[in-house]
Amino acid sequence: MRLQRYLIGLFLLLLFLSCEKVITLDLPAHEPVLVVNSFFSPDSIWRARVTASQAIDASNGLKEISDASVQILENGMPVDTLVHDSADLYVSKRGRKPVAGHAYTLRASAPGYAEVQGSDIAPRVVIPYNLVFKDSVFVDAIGTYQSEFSFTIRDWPGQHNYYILDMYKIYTYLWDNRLIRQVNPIDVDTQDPLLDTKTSQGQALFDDATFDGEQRLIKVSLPTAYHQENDTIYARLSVVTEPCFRYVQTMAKYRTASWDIFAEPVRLYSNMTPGMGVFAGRAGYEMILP
Amino acid sequence: MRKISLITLIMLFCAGLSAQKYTVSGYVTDALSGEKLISARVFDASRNIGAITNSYGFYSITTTGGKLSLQCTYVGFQPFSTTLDLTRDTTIHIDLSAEGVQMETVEIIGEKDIAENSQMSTIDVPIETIKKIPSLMGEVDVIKALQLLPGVRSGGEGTTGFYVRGGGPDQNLILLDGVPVYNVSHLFGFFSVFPADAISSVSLVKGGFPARYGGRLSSVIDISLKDGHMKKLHGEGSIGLIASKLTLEGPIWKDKTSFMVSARRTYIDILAQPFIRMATGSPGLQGYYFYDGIAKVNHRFNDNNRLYLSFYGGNDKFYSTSQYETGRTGFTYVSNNKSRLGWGNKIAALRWNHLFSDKLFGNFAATYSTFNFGISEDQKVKQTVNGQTTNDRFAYAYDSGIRDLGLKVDLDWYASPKHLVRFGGYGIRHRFVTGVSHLIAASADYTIDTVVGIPPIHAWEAGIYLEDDFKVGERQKFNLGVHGSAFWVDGRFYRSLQPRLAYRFMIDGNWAAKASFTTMYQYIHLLTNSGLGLPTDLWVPSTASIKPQAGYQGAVGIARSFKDLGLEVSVEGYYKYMTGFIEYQEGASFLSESTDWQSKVVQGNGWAYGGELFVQKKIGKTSGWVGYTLSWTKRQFEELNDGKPFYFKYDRRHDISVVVVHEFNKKVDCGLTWVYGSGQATTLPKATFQGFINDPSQPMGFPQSVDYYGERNSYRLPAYHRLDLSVNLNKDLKKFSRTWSFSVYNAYSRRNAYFVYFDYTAAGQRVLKQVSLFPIIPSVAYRFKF
Repeated sequence: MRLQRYLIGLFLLLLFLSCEKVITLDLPAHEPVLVVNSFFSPDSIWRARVTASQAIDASNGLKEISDASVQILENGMPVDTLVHDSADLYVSKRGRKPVAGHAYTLRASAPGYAEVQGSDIAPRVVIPYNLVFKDSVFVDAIGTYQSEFSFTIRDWPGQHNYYILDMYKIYTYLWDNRLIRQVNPIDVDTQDPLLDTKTSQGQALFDDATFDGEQRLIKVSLPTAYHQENDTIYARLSVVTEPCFRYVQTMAKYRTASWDIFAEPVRLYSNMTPGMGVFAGRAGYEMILP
Repeated sequence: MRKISLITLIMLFCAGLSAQKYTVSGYVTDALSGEKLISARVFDASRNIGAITNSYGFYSITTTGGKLSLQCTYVGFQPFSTTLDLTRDTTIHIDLSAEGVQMETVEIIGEKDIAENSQMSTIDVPIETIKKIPSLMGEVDVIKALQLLPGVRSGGEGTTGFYVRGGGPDQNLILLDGVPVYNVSHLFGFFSVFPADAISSVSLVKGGFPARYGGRLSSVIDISLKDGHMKKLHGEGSIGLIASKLTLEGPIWKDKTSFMVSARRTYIDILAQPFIRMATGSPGLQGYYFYDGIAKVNHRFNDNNRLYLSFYGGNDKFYSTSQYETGRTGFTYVSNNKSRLGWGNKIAALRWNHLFSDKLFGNFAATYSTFNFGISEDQKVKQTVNGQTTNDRFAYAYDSGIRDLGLKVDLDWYASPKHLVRFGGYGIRHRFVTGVSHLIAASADYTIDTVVGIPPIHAWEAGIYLEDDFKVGERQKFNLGVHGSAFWVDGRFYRSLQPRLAYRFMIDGNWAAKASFTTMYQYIHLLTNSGLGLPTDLWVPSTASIKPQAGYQGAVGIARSFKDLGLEVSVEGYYKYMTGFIEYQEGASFLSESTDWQSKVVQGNGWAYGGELFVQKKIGKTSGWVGYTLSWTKRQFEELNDGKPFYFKYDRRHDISVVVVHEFNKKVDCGLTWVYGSGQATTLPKATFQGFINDPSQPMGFPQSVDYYGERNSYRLPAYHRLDLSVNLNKDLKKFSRTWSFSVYNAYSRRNAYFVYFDYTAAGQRVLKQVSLFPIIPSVAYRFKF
């Protein structure tokens, strides 16, 4: 961090010499397209959010599309129609859910926009076993007691599987005579190089390239103090499809690059054509730490 | 019929034996200083054969006995000629005199002739011309001058790297007295590390690389330091607005041993110190400066043995010390902070020239080169609470760098006037430090002293080469060679064999058609962020997962010398393909948290093609050049831009440079440079849309506004152009000569884009803003010479 501070300082010294002006660059006009985001899971009903993109120099906020037609198709045949609700979400009118292992296509259209579509499958969940929690196993370099949580997974064989592990704690408190439920993400901390890739919310992203179809022990650590605060700590292991994985991965890089003045910009993954957004499957299993 | 042919061959062979051949050889030096003259032309006018002096001023001509009309010419010097009856091997050392030369009347063939030379894509820039080119803040800059040549792109203001024919900034082999220099600039590339007063020659090779060069894909910049005056003490120096420098040279033992020392330091920190104190109100010190030091000694044992010892050291330093005190009754707090940030090169070379015979010249060198970057902070805190005193300390240091130890042998064998054979080999031991942090935290309760980072990587590089520069008939000349190299790192072994070919065909006495094809291999990479020239740029080796860089380049062209006008003209076209580039992954930079650089990079390919026109005038009252480049440069990485090719950031369609130096008389000369470059490529967002980030409390996650980026580098910044002017007023005084040098950088104050970014106005409108660095900057410098 200190290195960053000094380098940025040096860079700012350079900028101190500089002068700035507003310029006009010949930016091609942007034709707005539909942006559809839908993360679907076998344990939840279909839902999607539909908005429209806008020009980079537009001053109004992002536009919600409330009059879109959103359909879910399987093998080219419509299986569900999503309707707009009060929370600006499109949800399954009949409360239908995706079926694990099935491939689906989402097709959306709205007046004044080109029709967009994206396809993906609903993955099968992987249920972790041998859950072990060890309290105050070691003291880290700055003197903090760390506990250890481990579990084993058996990977689905014969296919490239992607995983996201995230941890969070939920606590409740009274505020203004109301019970507030707050969810706070916890950084997935581990010495395991498999879990090296992280998002800015502390999720670990990994795939099964090194353990295809085999068992794999996953071990993470967390400050003992977290556990001793009587809050409930959750760990969620999600099997995700490649589009979902790439979306989360590029979003993490995008967010990192947005504050790093030296990084090249990142293009967020999309499988909605010709629009933007993602139609992506995931199947999560939630573990409560003892 | 067969018998007749055989007899004819035997007769010819015997005839060859009967015509006894002898060798005339020696060194060509400046009569006044004893300085060697590189690339001087020595020839026998009666037989029309000759040789060019090598990097140490040595020549050798083998020819049949009899009358020899030996001539030697070099730009800016009186031609030398003598006749002799060659009856045995003869040594003739030629001292050329510059006195009484009328520049405009000297024959242009003094130096190696652009049309005659088999090598193409090579430019020699006279150091005297470089000194007269207008410069930023009056600091004469060799690298900046090279960036004005066709095929060489600067990254623009505020960038250190330069890009030759679409190559990367790490693909330039920059040699100072034969030693690779890794970081050639100070302060974001505004100034180069080479003080011009200490330099005797500069040459640039952009393609058609002779086999003796290896290890880089795109260019060779060969810079030779002055050897030192052999006759008497001389000096030159300057006092400028931000820096002063002094170079001294002279004999230690007349005509045997000489020295040259040169030093430069900026004093921005000293000048700015009172203002910083006023502004901050702090008793501490903050500042930035850089310095260079050069020393060279050479000793001539005899005609056959000569020893050179060269040293260069230079550093950029950014420093800050501060003290903070506070307190109230029963409580005091004192904090002392010291911070340092610095980077620099050190190089050393010990070279031994040995003449094995009048046909075989050898140079043996032991070299050392290092580039280091370091940052440190040390904070000491003393707290007293109710009489109880505690002392805490926090110290942090980060280091990265590269260090080379090398041995090299180069042999020049002047087999015959038609064959010059060069061969040799080298071995380098590299040590890479790719980022190591040292943390110390100490208090009454705990002490942490830990080192984090990747241990140094050691690698070995070795190579051998063989090249033959030979004539076939009067019109054709070839330079054929092969360069073989190998690299060992972490149990991994890479090797390559790189054929080199250059061909010249004399169309008539002045016009020459040229072609070349070369393959190159490079085992080290520079991991850099968009060429900003930050000292954090990491030199890294090829590893098991990072492959070496490889490339080939083909070029064709024509060249002509207009001897009456003193002009050289060349037109060249080229195509270059390169593999093994490394780039940071999308979104990654040196600031990214991962400590292993390999996890942050991707590898890809690139290609470049284009044409270059170069018109150079080296002699006369008006000298300089005009260069024009039309080029395309692309990159392709599987992991970037959806795997599709994209324009390189420094792809510029058109690039023009005009450099004119005019000497009105001995008292006044002036210089002008004008550069124009098409806008460089950049990536800008095209649209905004809604995305989602993880939020366990919401089924869709948390909405986030996201900018959509289209094709990488699909926008062009406004064109870059700039005019610089200078006037030098020279005067010979009793004991020394002096020059007042006035220059104006960016004379019409063009606001060239450093970078652009989107920002919001007060009204919430998103607008594109451009950051420019330098407006018009006038400067003055006082130079002296004795």
